[in-house]
Amino acid sequence: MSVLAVQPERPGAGFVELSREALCGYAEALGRAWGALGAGAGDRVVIYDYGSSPVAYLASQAFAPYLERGAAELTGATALCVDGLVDNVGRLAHVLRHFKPRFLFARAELVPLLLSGPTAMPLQQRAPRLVVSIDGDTPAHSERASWEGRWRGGLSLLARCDAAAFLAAECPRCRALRVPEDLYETRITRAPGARSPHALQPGMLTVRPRFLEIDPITTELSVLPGAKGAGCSHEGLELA
Amino acid sequence: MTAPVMSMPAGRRFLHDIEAAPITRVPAGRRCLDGVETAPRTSLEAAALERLREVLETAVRLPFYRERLAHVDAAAIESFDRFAATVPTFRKADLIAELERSGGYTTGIEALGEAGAAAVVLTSGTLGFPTFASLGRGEFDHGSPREVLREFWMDGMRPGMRVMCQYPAWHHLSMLDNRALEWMEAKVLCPWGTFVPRFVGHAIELIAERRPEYLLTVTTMLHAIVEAAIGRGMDVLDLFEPVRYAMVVGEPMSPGQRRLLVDLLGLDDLFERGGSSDGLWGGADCPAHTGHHVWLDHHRVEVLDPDTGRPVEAGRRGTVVVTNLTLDRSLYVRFDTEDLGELLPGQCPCGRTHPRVELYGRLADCVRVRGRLVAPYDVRARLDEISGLVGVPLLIVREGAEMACLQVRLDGDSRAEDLAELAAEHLQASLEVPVEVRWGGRLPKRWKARMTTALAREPIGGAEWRRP
Repeated sequence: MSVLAVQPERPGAGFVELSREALCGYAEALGRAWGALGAGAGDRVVIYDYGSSPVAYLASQAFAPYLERGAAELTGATALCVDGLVDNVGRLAHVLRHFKPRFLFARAELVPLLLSGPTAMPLQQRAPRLVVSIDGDTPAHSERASWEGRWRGGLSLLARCDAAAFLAAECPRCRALRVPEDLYETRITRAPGARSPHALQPGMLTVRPRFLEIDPITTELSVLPGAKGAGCSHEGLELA
Repeated sequence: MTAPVMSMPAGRRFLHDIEAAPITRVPAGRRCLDGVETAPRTSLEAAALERLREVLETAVRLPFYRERLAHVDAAAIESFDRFAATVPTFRKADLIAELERSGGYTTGIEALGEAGAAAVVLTSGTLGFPTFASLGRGEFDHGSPREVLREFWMDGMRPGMRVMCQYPAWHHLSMLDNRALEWMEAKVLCPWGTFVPRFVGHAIELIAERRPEYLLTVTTMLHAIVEAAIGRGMDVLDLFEPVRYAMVVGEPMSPGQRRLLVDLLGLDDLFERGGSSDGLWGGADCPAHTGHHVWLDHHRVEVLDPDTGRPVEAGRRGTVVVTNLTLDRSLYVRFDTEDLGELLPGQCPCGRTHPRVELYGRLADCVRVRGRLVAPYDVRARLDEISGLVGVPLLIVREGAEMACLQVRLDGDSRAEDLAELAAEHLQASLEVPVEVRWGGRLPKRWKARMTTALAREPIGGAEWRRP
C-alpha cells in the first residue's frame, strides 16, 4: 500500500507511489550509491537539493515519513540538507566551512554556481567530493573535465530517474555505473535502426526497479556498455 | 497509530503513564490525543519542574553551559520563578560567537545520548547566520514529534487522510512532521520543489490530481498557490474542494487573513504554527484560534521585558524566551529567541490547559513610535479589518530608533485617498500613535511576507512589485 506519493521532477511523469517496502528498496539504492562512492561510518554528507528529491529525502530516516533507514543510517554517515535554491549558496558555503562534509551532493544545474560562488573559497582548503546528480544530459567530457579541474575534492556522477525510482553512482575509480542488480533490471534501449545491440554505441537506459511494481521505464540517461577500469572489477554501464 | 513507547527515569510518573501508552488506544472521536493536554495546570507545572531539574543537571555538564550554570543547584530550583531568577538568558549571537570560536558545527549545547546525532539541521539564519542543531534518535522517537502529533490531532488531521506536505528535508519542523505523519498513518503527498512561488505549478497539479484533504505548507506558498490558480483562470473553490484544512507556518497570520482564506478556499479551518528553529520549539493554534499552545511537558516559555530582562505578566508583550524540557537534542536553556510575543492570560476555550503564546514577529522588525513598540503584524492585523485592504502588501518606513509618526506605505498607485485616510484613522485609534498612510506605488517583491508585511529600512521608491 502506498504511503508516500512524490511528484518527480520531470513534468507529466505522474507520481511515484511508494509503499514502506518500496521506500526501503529505494533508500537501499541510495545507500549503495553512497557506499560505492566511499561514504561510511562517521562521514558527513551534505545534500544541496530540494526536499522532494530522492537524493535528499532518502538520505536520512529523518527526512521522509515511513522511511525506516535512509542512506545515512545504512552507511553510518550523518546527513545534512540545504534546500536546493540558488539563493542558498551562501548558506551552503557556511555549512561547508563549519560542517566539513566529506561528500557534497548537488544538482548538475548548480555546479557552475558552486565553482564560482561563495562555495569556491572554503573549498580551497578542504573540498568534499562533489557528487553531481543527473537525470539526463550527461555532461560532455570537456565540461566534466573543466568541473574536475576546478573542484579540488574530486567529482562523481549520480544517475537518477525519479519516475523509475532509479539511483546509481559511478565508481569513483573506473566510472562504471554501479547498478545493484538485486534492486534493478536494466537494459540499453537503442533507437530503431541502430547497427547492433552489442556495438559500443550509446543507448538509453531502461530500468525496472525490483522493489516497485511498475513497468520498465526508458530513462533520459544515455549509457554505454562499460569497460573494466584499471584495478577495478566493475563491469556494466557507463554514462555517455 | 503506533508511536514508540518511552522508557522514563523515575520522577516523571505523571507524564510517563500517558506518554508510555500506545497511541493506538486513543479512541476515535476523542477530542484530545492524550490526557496531558487537559491535565490540571498545577500537575503539569510540577511535572515540568521535575523535567527542568533533569535538564539543568544535564546542561551544567555541557561546554556551553558549564560556566553559565556553575552557580546553579538544580535540586534547589523549586519553582519556575526561582529558575528565572537564577539562570541567565542567552541569545543567538552567543551561539554564533561559539560557532566561530569552535570552527566546527557544534556549539556545546548538544545534549545527545551515546548514539550521537541522528540528524543535524540548519537553523533559520536570522542575523544572517544559521547555526546548527543536532537531534538524537530519542528526540525523534519520544520528543517533539509527539507535540506535532498532538497538534495534528487537535487541528483535525485523522489517520488515513491525504496530506500534502511540502517538506524540505533541511528544516527541523519538517523532520518532526515526518514522524508525526507516520504515526498518524497519513497518506503523504509531496509536490516537486520547495516552498517558493516558482514551484506553485507543481503544488496546483498535486492538489488537482491527488486531492489532498490537508495541506501543510508555508503562509506565503499558500498565498502563491491561490494567486497562481486565479491567474490561470481556475475555480479556486473547485480546486480546493477536497481540502478541509490547511496548517501554515512562516509568519503571523491576522484573523482577517484567516477569514479571507477560509472563505475563498472553502476550508473547514486554517491553522497557524509558530515558533523558531533557533530554540527548536514551536506550537500551533487550535480551532479556537487564541494563541499557540505550548506543550509544557516539552517547552517552558517565558516572556521578558526586552529592556529590563524581567518577566512580564500574561497579556504583556516582550521577548520570547524558551527552555526545552526534553533531552537527546541541542538543548536551549533560557534561550532568548528575540521574537516579540505574549503569554495569553486564562485558559483556552478548547479546554487544553497548557500555556498559550501569541507571536508577532521578530523584535528587530518592530519600530518604536513615541515609546510604543509596533510590530508589522499590528499594522497588518488592523488593516485586514478594513474591507479593501485585506492582504494588501505594505511597508513600514523605519527612520531611526525612535520615531514620532508611524509611516505606512500601501502597495498600489493612489487609487483611493479616502481608503488611505481611513487606514490611518483606524491605525491611529487602535495603536494610539500618530500614523501616516500613503499609497506607495509598486512595493518591493519579497520572498517572505510578500502578501502580508514587508519592512523598509529606509523610505521606499521605485522598487519592483507585480500585483497578484
